[in-house]
Amino acid sequence: MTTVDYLNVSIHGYACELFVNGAPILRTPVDTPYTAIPSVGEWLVSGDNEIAVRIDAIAPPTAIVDPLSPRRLIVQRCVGPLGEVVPAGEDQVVDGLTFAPLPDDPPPTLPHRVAYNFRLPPGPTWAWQTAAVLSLDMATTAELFMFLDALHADLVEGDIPGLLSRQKIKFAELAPLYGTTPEAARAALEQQFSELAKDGAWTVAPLRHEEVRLHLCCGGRVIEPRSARDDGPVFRGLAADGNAWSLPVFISRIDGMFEVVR
Amino acid sequence: MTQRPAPRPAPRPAPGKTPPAALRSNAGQPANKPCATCQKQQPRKVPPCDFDKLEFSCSHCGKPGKREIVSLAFWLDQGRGMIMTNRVNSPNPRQPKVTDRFEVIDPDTITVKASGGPGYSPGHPTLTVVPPASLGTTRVLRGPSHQVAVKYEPNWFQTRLNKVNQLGFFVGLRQFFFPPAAVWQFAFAACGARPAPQRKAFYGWKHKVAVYPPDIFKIGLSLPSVRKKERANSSGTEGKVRYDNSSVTDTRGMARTSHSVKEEMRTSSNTELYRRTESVGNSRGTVTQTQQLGTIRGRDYSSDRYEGSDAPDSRKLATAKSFTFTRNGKDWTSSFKAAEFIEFVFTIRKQVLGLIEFFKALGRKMPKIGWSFSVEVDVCAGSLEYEWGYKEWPKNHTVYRYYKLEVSLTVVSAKAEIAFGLELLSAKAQVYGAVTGELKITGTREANPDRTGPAATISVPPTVGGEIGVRGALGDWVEVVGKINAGFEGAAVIELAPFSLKANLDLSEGKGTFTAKSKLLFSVTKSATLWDKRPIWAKTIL
Ligand SMILES: [Zn+2]
Ligand SMILES: [Zn+2]
Repeated sequence: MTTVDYLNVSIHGYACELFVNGAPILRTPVDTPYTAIPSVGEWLVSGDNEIAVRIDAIAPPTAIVDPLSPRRLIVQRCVGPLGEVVPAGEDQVVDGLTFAPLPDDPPPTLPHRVAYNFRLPPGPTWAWQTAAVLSLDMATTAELFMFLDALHADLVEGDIPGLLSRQKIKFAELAPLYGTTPEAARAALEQQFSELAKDGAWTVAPLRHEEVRLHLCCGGRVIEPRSARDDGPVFRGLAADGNAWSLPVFISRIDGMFEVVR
Repeated sequence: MTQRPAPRPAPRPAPGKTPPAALRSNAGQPANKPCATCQKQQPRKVPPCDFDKLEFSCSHCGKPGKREIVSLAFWLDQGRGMIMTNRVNSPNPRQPKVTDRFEVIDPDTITVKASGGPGYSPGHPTLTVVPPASLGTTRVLRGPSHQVAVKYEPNWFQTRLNKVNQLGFFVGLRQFFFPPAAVWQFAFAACGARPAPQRKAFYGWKHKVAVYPPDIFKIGLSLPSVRKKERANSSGTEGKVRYDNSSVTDTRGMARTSHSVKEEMRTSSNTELYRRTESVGNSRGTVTQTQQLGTIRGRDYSSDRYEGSDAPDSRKLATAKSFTFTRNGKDWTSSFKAAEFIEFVFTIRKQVLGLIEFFKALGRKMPKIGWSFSVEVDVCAGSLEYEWGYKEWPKNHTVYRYYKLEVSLTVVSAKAEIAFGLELLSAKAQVYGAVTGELKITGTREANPDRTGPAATISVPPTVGGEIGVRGALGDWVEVVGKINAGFEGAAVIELAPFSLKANLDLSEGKGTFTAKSKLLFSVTKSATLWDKRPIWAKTIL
C-alpha cells in the first residue's frame, strides 16, 4: 500500500500562508474557516524539514463567537493510504503545530511566523533541491516570462505534448509518489484535456506580464508565478461542463534551463 | 364623511326621510298636519324643526385618566354648507383616518345631545336606537338629549368556552382573540325645516356605536427545555446502526421544581425504538410523560402517555404546567385540553428528527466512507405571556386592541452533526461538520396606538452557526473556494393583534465551489451541491 504524507490543516480567524520547506502550499482567508488535507510528499526531503505558517492578519475577537466554528490554527503532519478517504477525525497524526495564544497575550507583531522542524529518513533527492539559486534580476525575469509565454502558447493551442515536454521533471518525480507512472500520467492528462476541451469549451485567460507576481521560494531555487489579482495560478481558463481549469506551476532552473518541477 | 347636509326641504318633505310620526294632537289629528276644518283655507305650513349640532359621548368622556375628548361632535356650517366634525385622527401615519363610529367598552352609556337650531315640532326630534338582534328591540326616543345604555353580548365568553373542546385547542383558543364588536345603530332625526333664508338643514344623522367586550385575557406558556438527541453511525460497516442511551436532568426552573428526562434508544435489524420519559414536578404534583417513537417490523409504535401522581386527569395537570389561560385574572386553564398542545410540540420534534433519515439516505449512497449523524433538537422551550383585550383610546372615540407580550421562547433549536461520503467533482469525498440553527424570540412588546410604530409584528430570522468541511481521497486534494453554504434558514413571526405565532425552519441547500487540486493534471474548479434544501417544518404554533 502506498502511503501519502499530507497535512491536516484547520484554520479560522487567521489569514496565513503555509510553507513546507519554503514551498507555499496554501493560503487561508481571515474571515472564513479553512480546512484541507493537502498532500506534500514532493516537498519533503531527507534529514531536516520545516513546516511554517506566516500569519498576515488576525480576525478581531468579536468576529469569532460560534463554538462550533472556533478560532484555531492547527497544522498536523499525517500519513494515510493513497486514494482513500480518511474520515475527519481519524487522521494518523505524526506531529504538527498549533498557534493558540492565551486571551491575555499581547497580539503578535504581523506578519508573525510559527514553525517547527522534524527529521526524516533518507529518501529521494528532488531536482529543485539542487536547482540554481535565482535572483529576480531583469535578465532572469525576462527569460522567465519567455518561458511562461511558451507554456501559455502550448495551453492556448491545446498542445499537450508541448506542455508535457516542459514538465518532464514534475512527471518523473511525482508519478511514483502518487501511485502512477509518468507514461500513465501523461495519458491521463491527454484524456482529461480532451474532456475539458470538448465542444470547443476550452479557453485560456490572457497572460499579462504586469499582472504576474513572481514568488521566490525554497531558498531561491523555486519560482511560483501568481496572479496579482487573487494570488491564484496564472494559467487558467474555462472548460466544458461549467468547469474552470487551472494549472499551478513551480519553476526551477535545471542545468541552465527553466523547467516545471511541480 | 358620508353624510351630507340636506337642502332645506320643500313644504312637503320627501317620503321616507321624515322622522317618525309625531304625537297625536288633542284633537286627534296628527300634529304636523293641518286640521280638517281649515284644510282648505290655509296653505300648508311646516313649522321649523332642525338642530345645529349633534354630540356623542360616553360615560368616560372628559373624565381625567379616561377619555380626553368631551364629545364627538358634528355641526352644520351654514356658510360652507357642510357638516363639520371635531374628530381626532390618529397620529399614527399607518392609520391616519379613524372610524367615525363611536366605540366603547361594555357596559357604557352613550349620551346623544342635539343643540341649536330653530326649534322643533312637537315630539321632535327623535332618536331611533337599533341594538344588535340578540340585545333587544328597536326603540324610538323623543327629544333633543338622550342617555342610552349599551352593552355587549353578556354570555359571549361562556358560549364560546363551551365550544372549546369541540373546536380543539387552537381554534378554541383563537375564539377569544378580539371578537367582533356589537354594533348599535343610532339614527337622530328632525324635519329639517328651517326659516328662509337658511339654505341648508342638518335634518338627520345616522351613527353607529360599536360596543366591545371588556375582558382582558392572558395566556402563558412555560415549557421546559427538553433537548432530544438522536445518533446514528456506521462504525465503518454498512447497515449496522447503533443507538445510544442518554439521560438529562434539568433543574432550571420556571414554575417547576424538578425535571428529569431519561432517554433510551435501541435498534436491531427490524426495530428502531426511541423512548423518552420526562417527569416534571412542582408544588402541584408530578407528571410523568412517556413518549415513544418506534417502528417494529415496519409498524409504527409511537405513543404518548401521561401519568400524574396526584391528579385524576393527568393530562389536565400536565397542561396546567405548560399552558395557562386567564380571563380578568381568573384561571380557566382547565377548560382547555392543552395536552393537544403538548402533542403538537411532540409532532414538531418528530419532524425535525426526520433530518436524520435525510442524512442517512445521503450516507447510504457511499457506504464505504464512514458516516455518522447526530441530530439534537429543542422545540418550544421557554416562556411566553400574552395579554390582550379591547380598551378605549384616551385620545378619541375609538377602541384599540390592547396587547402585551413578554416572550423568551426558543421556538426551535436544532443541531446536526454530520459526516458522510459523496461524489464530488467525479471523485469520492467526505462531507463533515456541524450546523446549528435556532429560532428564538425574546422581548417585551405592548400596544401603543399613539405611537407611530413599530408594527405589531415581530419577525426573527434564525441564528445559524457551525461549519461544514469537505475532504477528498488522499493524493489530489480538494480546496473549498470561499465558504460552503450550509445551515438553516427560516423565520419566526409573531403577530400581536390578534396573536399568532408562525415559524418555519428549513435545512438550507449545502452548496459550495470546490477545486480539485491535482498533482499531475489540470486542477478543476466547479460549484457543487452537497445536499438539497430540505423543508423541516412550517407551522402556525398559536
Ligand atoms: Zn366609555
Ligand atoms: Zn319635526
